[in-house]
Amino acid sequence: MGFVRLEWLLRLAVAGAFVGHGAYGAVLAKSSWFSYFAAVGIPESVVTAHGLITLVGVAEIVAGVMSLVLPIPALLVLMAGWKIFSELLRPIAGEPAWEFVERASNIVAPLALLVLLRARARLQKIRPRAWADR
Amino acid sequence: MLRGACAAEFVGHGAFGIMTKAAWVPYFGVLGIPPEVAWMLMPLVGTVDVTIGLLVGIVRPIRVVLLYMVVWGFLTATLRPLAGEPIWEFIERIPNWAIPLAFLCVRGPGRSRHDWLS
Repeated sequence: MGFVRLEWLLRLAVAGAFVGHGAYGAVLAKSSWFSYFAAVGIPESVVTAHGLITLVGVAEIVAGVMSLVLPIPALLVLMAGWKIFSELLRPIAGEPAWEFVERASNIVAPLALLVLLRARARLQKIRPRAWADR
Repeated sequence: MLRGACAAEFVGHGAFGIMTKAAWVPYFGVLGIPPEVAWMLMPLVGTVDVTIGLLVGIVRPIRVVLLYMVVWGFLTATLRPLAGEPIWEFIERIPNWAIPLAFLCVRGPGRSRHDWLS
């Protein structure tokens, strides 16, 4: 599998992790999310009043679609940071630590895509002809 | 990075099997396995997951084991919507099979039986 196919595989992985997770907020308004907001000191009343679950869900879906269409490095850094933070909320909210460990692939996907994009940029700079053949 | 993610994914998932999780019972049900058998099989499935995760993470990322991770990650993600959960459960878990597949691609597919076992 060449650079391009690997990049699309990782784009799909990042998009899937964010669109799938975001849908739980934006589409299903999953009630278990209240405990994650509570973990950072935001009470259920505030979450409901401002529609924060929907807001976060929509933001995740938008980020996921963007990573598929236009994976900007800055966005990928932001997405990796968000994934680490949001997945850490699970054990903080009282769920087993394995919930965080199990989701390592979701966290690593944007980072792996970022590394690949940087490697591609270097390759294009050093060997433009070799890149054109891929 | 990919190696660590594959290992953590399987160790973390396997831990839930060893601890046994009620949410897993419907996944066994999809395959026609009754609840009482499902509860007995969970620790076994979990132990295999943890072993595979530790093998890849600590010992060696053997190609055929990475291929197993791809197939198992895809199957377990597919079981969720088949068990009546929303399709988003499958979509959110695309990295569960895509990351082992990406790692396998980075290592390169084996050209011989020996390659696949190394």
